Amino acid sequence: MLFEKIQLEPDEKVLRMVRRHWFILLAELFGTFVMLLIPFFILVGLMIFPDTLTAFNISLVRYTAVIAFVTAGWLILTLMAGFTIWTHYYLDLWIITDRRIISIDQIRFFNRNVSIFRLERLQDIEFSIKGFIPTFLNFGTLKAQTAAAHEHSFQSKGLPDPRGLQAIIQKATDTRLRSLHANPHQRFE
Amino acid sequence: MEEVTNLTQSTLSLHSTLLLALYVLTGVYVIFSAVLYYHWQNYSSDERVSKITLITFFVSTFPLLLIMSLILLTI
Repeated sequence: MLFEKIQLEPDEKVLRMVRRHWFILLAELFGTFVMLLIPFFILVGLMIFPDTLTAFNISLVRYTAVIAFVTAGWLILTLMAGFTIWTHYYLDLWIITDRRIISIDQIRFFNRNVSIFRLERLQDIEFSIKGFIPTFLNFGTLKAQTAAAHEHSFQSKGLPDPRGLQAIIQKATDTRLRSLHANPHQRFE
Repeated sequence: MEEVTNLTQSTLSLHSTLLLALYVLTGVYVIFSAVLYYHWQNYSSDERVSKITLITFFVSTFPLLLIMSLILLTI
């Protein structure tokens, strides 16, 4: 499982685990759902307009088994696409702890980007909510700038309640910095 | 007689095409299932969700593969 691989530090507490907003998943799955219904739409269309097939001298009854075979194959492929979307949605994750932010970006199968940012290196965190639906459903983009040498900023789109997340991260960063000022050796433990 | 031969050839050809399609789909399905299983076993943060996802996947797709095989036996 995931936490066995990430290996949290001793006494490190997970504050929030965030996935993209459910609307993002719904919007992506809607396309799959429409694809799932395509064979049935075609069949209904052929039943409503049977003359289309008779013009080509094709009998629907004669090819029932073939139609069922092709439909089943289509359903399998569409379901595989649907499960791919769900997998990418669920494995795409932000883990906010009291010491760091772990951003896991599941781009594709076998294309996974895991970034870890320590809160004391965080310089700025900002969010943006653009558009009618994101404003109405309260999701948007969260962007953070760090003082790390190799990567200066990271962002994630479609996160729910970005304002609340910003507040949680800001509060955790302040607490972490206060703790480090009080005990500077803690940084190296 | 010629019509019967054509019909047999056509049926055989259709059967072979569908059989090939089933083989290809089964191959894709097996590879996809292995990849899906690997990802959910290794990267999921919740074992319960992993189980539900994998069970749902196999319950919804495997019967369809069986149906395709059975249809092919009847053609």
